[in-house]
Amino acid sequence: MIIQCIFEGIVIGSILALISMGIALIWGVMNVLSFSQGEFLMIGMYLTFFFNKNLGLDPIISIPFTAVIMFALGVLVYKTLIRKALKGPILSQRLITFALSMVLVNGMLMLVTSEFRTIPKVIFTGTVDFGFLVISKEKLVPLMVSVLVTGALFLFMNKTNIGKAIRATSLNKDAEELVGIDTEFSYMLAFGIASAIAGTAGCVLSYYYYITPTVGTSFLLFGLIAVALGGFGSIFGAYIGGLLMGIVDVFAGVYFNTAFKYVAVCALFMLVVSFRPKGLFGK
Amino acid sequence: MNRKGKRIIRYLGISLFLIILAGGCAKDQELNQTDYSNNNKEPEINKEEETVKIGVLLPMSGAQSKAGQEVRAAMNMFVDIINENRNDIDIPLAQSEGLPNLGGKKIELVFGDLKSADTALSEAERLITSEGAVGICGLFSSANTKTAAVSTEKYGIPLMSEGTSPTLTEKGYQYFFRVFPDDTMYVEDSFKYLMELNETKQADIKTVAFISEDTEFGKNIANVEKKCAEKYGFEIVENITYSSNATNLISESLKLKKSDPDVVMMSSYISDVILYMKTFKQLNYKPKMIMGQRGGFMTSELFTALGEDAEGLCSTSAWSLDLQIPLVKQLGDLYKEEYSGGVEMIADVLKCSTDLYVLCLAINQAGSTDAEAIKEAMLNLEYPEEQLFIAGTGFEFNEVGQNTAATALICQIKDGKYRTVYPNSINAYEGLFPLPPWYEK
Repeated sequence: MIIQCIFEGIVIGSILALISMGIALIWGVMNVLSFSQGEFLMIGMYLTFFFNKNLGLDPIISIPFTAVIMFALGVLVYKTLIRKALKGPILSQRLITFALSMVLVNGMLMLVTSEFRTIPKVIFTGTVDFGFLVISKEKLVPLMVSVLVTGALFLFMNKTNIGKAIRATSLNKDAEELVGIDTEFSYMLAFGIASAIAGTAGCVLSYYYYITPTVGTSFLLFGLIAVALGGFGSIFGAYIGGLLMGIVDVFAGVYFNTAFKYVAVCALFMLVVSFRPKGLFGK
Repeated sequence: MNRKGKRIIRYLGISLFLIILAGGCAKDQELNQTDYSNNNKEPEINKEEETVKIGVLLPMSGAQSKAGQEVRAAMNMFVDIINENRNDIDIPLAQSEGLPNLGGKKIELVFGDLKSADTALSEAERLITSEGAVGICGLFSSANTKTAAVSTEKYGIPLMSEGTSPTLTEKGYQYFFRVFPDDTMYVEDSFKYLMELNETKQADIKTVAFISEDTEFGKNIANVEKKCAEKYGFEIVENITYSSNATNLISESLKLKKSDPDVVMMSSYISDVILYMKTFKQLNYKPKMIMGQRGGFMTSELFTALGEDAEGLCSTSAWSLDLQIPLVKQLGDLYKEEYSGGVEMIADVLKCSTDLYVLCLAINQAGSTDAEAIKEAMLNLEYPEEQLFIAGTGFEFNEVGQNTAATALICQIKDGKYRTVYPNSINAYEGLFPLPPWYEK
């Protein structure tokens, strides 16, 4: 049972990690708290659903298409909303994504209704039963994608010139503008990448989860805790924060009480904050 | 083009997009909510004299809005049956136009949005005081019923609700009525069915586990289940409560798998039912029987979201399309063909719309819209048994508002439809026990 708990915890954590990485990226680069990340995940799930229903694409196959569309949506949101809000008072900067999330949820409720949808058939299905551990092939998908996305993002941010420019912008915007870095472009790119990651999370989540307009809201809360746990601004920290939360969630539920599993997660968060106020990997 | 010109064109483009979007949405809303908008616009006093207004509280926004739309369609069907002359449907009030004892006055529904327990109170109050509703019905949970009852008891207006908590009839409400069984009756019948399986099919069911969401709905049922399990001699191996709309139900499912009960009884909403079934399948875990206590098990989305994975699930119910009564099929077909756009009638939809119909019967029998007269008529409601379209023997309300002539059913999903497996008098399907594994070896 312990091995099963670890596996399941890592799977839950990998989904949380995908959501929290986007939040961490946006916060780290432009100091904006992205409350709409859960809704970007939801839109990613709907795109996956419609690709599957109309074109017969498996969620894995639709990842690149969904990611590109979500990137474009992120850029559009940045150019029409976030960029303007960044010039306003701090409260507007904090609340603009919250307002956006409300518009997206209610807009989707009007467009597609609250009906629960699922993707009926996927490529990877079935289980591998070792006795002490049952591995669902459907759950290997988010696990693998999460590792790949984290690795790709890490390489992009550390090894490419554009990634380095984004990181530099997060350190000192004015100084970077003086040396000729287009900070506006860095911001736009960061928001687009975060949206694409949320869309990718939506693709893999729809592999085994239901789809409804309010689905992103509950994931967002845990995504935010994962970011704070790992350290605001740290992508690696957000990933580890997500994994830790998943494991604590499952162990507390199985070995303590299911009614208190979220209490355990929040207790862990409070414990970390008391000893390391900036999170495990925050600087 | 200069910068200013570009900006103007950009804003014009965005405005055009928003207008098209709003236009599309407005059209959609108009289709779905025509009578709601009309009601809001025309609450004139003159019209009150021509029609009998009944307040209906339904979730019209948010996650439950689809269920609200289905109930609304069924209620519209009953209103049409009452308001128009339908000689082809053999139930009281169908052969006349409007309510004959009130000079042919027609029924008019006035709607309120049921978002939460708080809005149940405020919307019930609005429908009574502003719209002039003479009775309230809708798609209530037990918690919503309690807050709506604050208004209905205050103004002395009949409240018809299918909130199933036994506490609703223990609170001393004067104007509360429930047509279908309460949790005690449903759960009691679940255990009687298990006993019957042990006796007739040598099912050897010894252990049970309960999964209940942690609001009033789940907690009440868990309490009744615990008492019944002890009464009928079943061992409880797990009694799990969980938060509804959780992001995962892994630990709950792992605990169940570890304790390996013969029967899992679930009190869950639709989102959780879907997630549980998906999680059970991923863990390759299937008990001998999964018995739902209505809630998410009684929604049409169960079939669309789970597909083949829903096969074999059982649920307590108050009504089923396979009841061997010709009127059931006739009403079911009418609803599906003319009102729901092809969606089949399910028990919860029929229950809420029957509440409306029974309230209309009582108003007609009272010959008045006075609350005391309606209450008196309800307590002495006359209904020919041969014209029934629900299980049981009729509508016999006791002094606390419970219809004592109602019967609970146990249904099991076969070929994408609920089929009645209990009680024996209805028994339309012999049932599948134990459930087959998820993956055939």
